[in-house]
Amino acid sequence: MIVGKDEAVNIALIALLCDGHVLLEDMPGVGKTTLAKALARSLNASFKRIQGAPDLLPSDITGVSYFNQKLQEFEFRPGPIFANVLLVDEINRATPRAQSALLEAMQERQATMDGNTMALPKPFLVIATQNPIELEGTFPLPEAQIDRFFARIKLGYPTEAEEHQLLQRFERADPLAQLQPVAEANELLQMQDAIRTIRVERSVSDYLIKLCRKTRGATGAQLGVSPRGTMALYRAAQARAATQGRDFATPDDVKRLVPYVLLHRIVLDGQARLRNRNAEEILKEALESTPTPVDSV
Amino acid sequence: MLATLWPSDTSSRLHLVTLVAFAGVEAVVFTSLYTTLPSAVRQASDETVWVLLWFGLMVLALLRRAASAISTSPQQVRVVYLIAYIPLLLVCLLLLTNDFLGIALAALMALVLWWRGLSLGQSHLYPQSARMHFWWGLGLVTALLAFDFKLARMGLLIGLAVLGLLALIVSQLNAVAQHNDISPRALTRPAWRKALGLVLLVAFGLIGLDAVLLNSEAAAWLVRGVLALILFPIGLVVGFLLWVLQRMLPTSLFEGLGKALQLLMQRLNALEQAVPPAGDPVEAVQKSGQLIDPQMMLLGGILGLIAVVLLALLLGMGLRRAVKRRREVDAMPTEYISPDDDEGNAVEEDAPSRLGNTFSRWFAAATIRLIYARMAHQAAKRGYDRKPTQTTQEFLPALQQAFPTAEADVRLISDAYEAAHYGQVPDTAAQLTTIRDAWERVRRIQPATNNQQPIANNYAIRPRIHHPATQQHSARDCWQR
Repeated sequence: MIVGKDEAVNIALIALLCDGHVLLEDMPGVGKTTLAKALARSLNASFKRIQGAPDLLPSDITGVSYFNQKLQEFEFRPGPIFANVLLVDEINRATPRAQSALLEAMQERQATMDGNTMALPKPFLVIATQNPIELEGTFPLPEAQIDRFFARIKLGYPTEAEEHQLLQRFERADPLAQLQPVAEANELLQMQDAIRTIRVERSVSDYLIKLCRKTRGATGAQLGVSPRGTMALYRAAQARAATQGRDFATPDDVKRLVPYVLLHRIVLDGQARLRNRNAEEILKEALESTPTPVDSV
Repeated sequence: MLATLWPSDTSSRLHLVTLVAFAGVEAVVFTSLYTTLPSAVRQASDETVWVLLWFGLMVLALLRRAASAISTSPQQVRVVYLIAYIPLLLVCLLLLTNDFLGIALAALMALVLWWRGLSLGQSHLYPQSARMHFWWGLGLVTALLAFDFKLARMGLLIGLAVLGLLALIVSQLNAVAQHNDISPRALTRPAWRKALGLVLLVAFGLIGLDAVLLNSEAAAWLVRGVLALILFPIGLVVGFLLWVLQRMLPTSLFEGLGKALQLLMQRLNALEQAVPPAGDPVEAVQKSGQLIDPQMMLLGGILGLIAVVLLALLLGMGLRRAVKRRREVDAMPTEYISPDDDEGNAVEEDAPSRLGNTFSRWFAAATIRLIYARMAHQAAKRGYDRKPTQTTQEFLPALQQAFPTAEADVRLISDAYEAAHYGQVPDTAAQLTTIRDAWERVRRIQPATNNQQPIANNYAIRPRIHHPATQQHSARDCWQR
């Protein structure tokens, strides 16, 4: 379905296994929405979609209470948020007010309407897409909301050979329409529970914590990785180990996941922006100054 | 609450064993505080006080353990125990002394015991905490021996220190059984350190054996012989230092120091015998013809000073580590703090078989880790250094270049190392044999020649530069875009 983007698909799968939300960020037309749809269809679970737009209201996301004249009472009509997989396309086109409606849902797994709090179905996964280059008519996501995304994935353009393969695959029919579910929602919940039992040795968790802590005091970083980010990296390492068929996580798992799980959580200060320093450099420095827990004589 | 005192799982039972042993060691330490009281005001034997304190510590620690299974806040637990325990201990200790100093000491001991008992009960069976307990106990016992060197009591004291050491070993074995951090450094220590450790262990073991079981003159002579063997080299060094000091410092200083030490010793003796000294203590000693050689006094003083400095260093290091560890734990998100071992130890095994397998498992894991470390060391000698920030998988291509024609074996060892270090300890001897065979094949491979590996040859000239292949691999792995 997605050609040549195995790593991106793996990260999305890891996020799914960790009960985390995914932010797909890249140029238009590289397959963000297709990946989100494919992931949703691979699960036999309810799927809803929201198109980010400036006139999107919070009630368009959470639902609305309307007066049923026949029954003479208010009735709640659930919004698209009451789904197992929610695709929020072009999330940065929605207003901050609408974006904030997603905040509670993403972290607390619940939605509040008219003073009533309702739990969201399990599993609940938000896959949001955004285009980083268009700034006009967009509302950049606040740090608090970005931090709620488990991983940020950039797909990138395919290679020449991959584009050939892509053309062949889409020549006769849309493969998305033929995609069949491979797992039930309750199976996913069981997998999520099983991931928690993957062993993370003390030295590996120490390494992981040191990495995250180094981003906090780094030059040019206004905000480093939050404890939520540390926890996300821990869970992601567990999930990656499981996807590789291991029952223990290694420093390799941690290192491979750092760009996807931590990068979007680092906020640069003004000086760093002026000097064209980016979060990748901060993370690279943290990685290059943190020794891995490997024995030596 | 009582039902939780004897847990059903092996890990918790082992924890209880270590707890009882540590309580024993610490009770010895606190007992010696009681023995510092003048004999005239001591109403009970040292052994009685020791049993009382051991029992008190254990009960407190066990109750604290039981309370942790109940949802009570630590503050509440501390207050309840303080209220219930201190008056009880005060009453007990008041029965043992009739002196104001004794009462003050009893109050101090009660407070310290309350703190130590709760700490023992709260601590988990991690090797780190066990090590801390052990060094804490051993350091205090050593300090006491420096001031109260009587062979009859020394046997008891050191015997209990050995008990603490056994507890440490038990906790370490338990850690291995649960696949906690184990280091191959134990196998790579230099031979002289291993020999010294063995001699010390034998010496302490003999002393403990003498104190607990034999209590014979022959055993005492044997113990003294072993101790003399250990102390002789130290005596040589100290003697040389003293000789140098005597040459460098004026004689009047030695005389002054000798007099001061004489005075101090005389006052201490007077306190011990509860007999007020008549007239000038120095004159009294001179009259009685028991004048202590000033040089010997100086030697004792310097040795004592060295012992105190060493002890302070040990305690300081231990405290620093404890504070550092606490800060790290405080900084951790709550999800990362390891749950109680007892809860995590869901798989219950037969305790004897588990302990029986523990040694072989530890040995297998440590051997695999040592083999990998040696392989990396050999690769470094051939010019393929591992960067400290590289993982095993990132270093694998460089290892495969360092040992050409053995790619499969190198991968096998690397994978086994990952499993032994970060995952499950191998259970079968067959797997260990396979790894050993692979290492034997790998180590026999000759370094690449100029024609085969030009890059490796360059590294023979510049041996401490990290291999570019590994750096490229690292960058490629982590930053795909």
